[in-house]
Amino acid sequence: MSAIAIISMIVILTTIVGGFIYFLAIAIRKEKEKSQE
Amino acid sequence: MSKTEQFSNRWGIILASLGMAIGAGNLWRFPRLAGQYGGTFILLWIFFLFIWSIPLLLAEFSIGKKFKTGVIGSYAQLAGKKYAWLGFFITICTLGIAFYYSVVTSWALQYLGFSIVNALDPIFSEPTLAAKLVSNPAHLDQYWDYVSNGNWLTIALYIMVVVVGVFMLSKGIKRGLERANKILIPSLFVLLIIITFIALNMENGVQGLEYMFTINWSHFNNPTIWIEALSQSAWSTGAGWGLMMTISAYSRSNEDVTLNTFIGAFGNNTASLIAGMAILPAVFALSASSEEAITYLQTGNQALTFTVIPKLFTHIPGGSLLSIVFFLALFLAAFSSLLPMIELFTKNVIDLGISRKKSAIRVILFFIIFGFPSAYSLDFFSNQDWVWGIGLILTGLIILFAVAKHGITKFKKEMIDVDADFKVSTTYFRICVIANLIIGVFLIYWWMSQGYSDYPWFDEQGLWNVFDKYSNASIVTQWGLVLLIGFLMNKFLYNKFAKKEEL
Repeated sequence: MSAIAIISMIVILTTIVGGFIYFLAIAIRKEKEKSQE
Repeated sequence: MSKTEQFSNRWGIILASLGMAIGAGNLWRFPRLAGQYGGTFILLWIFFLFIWSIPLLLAEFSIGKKFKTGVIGSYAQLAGKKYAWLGFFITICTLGIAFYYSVVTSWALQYLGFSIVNALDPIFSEPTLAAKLVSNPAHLDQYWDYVSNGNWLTIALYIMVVVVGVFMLSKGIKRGLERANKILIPSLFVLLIIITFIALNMENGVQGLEYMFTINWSHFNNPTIWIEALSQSAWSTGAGWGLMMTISAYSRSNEDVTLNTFIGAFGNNTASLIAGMAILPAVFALSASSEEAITYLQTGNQALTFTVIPKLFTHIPGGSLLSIVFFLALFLAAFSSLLPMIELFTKNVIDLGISRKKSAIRVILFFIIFGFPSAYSLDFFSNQDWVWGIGLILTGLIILFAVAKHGITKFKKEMIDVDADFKVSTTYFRICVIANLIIGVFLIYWWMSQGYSDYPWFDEQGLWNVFDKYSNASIVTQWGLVLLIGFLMNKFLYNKFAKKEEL
């Protein structure tokens, strides 16, 4: 694979898949906090 | 689903919005467009996720949560009584998509049956799919032509899909949908990841990955790619359809708009990327050369998912069973996305004072009559995909117009930020709304002024080119008719859908 393709793949996957996991983690934490209150 | 029904918790509405968004747009439409335009398209598609789809989904979610009625009624209550006709346009645009989307769902069902028959062939001493492809390499392409053009089984399955969908909704789908999505969505993700690993491990599969993520800078000058990236982002996330407005009408009164919207939007795009990383490498792995793969992808073939996946599975042990699982997942994903589309229409019919049971028969008849041409003819199907796919730019503008009219900052603080666990900056929302109003108008102008050389405004006889599948004239005519009818009926629409809600 060319360098540009590898860099673009990493940036795209980190943004989208990483974003999905990040927001999901926040929601899980918030729900956990609410259930403990 | 009665008006008082609610999703039981945050995960219920998140899974419903993922179920709505993850469907044929991810497994069928995204790989086709990513294959046609490569990494440039993907970058623009992400750009429009942030700029276009997320702000629109935030707006839709909060409108549905506040007004808790159908799209026409909710829109008219936010924008004012002069603008019910714009809510009507959103409804008809989504219906235009729903009619041919049901056909995609029926294709998935037909391919599920095809996979089952292929898996059973060895038991009855019939040649396997792999053997059929050796004796006739065009076998899968021929089957696709058979399914997508004038096939009565497709039409019968199309009607069955609509009837079952309406029947499920008439019984109260909330609990069923919520429970089903808890199994369906994680299963779909797992399955897509498995297929991606299989495709990438095949010889030349990595070339597909390279093609998918390589950015061709000259493509940024092509208005078609910008429009396709925006319409795909809207098509896949469901932004501007009014579907999120319909789903959130059943949300809890203290539901968190922002975080749920971000999870739905990013989850949907994750599924698209995984699907692309499964299907494009498969095309390269199965083609005789890279050139052949690229030529095939750049035709923008509607059949991509349907012809490549069955072939891919003939190359691996147990592939016939995996093929069944894939098309089952595709069918269920498409079906779970179709349900909110049917519900959007049903809810508007119910708003007219017709009971859910009686509205069900009308909805079925409506779908059968208006969806039949797409089920029968692939050219008509392609025309509708073009007309109403691009129409999502206009419906997005219509929703943003209502937000701007209400006051962007006021809307953000009063309707989006209420009960929020996670907030986005008001400046971001404000910039996106204003930028989108400019971008949307500019893109429509750009597309109008460029035209498409193969499909001009006027045909060779100088007549208005309304019947060419990708002509601008066809889009303008169909949009214009719906807008005109809505405008003439505005008073009726407002009185029937919105006024009673205000009392």
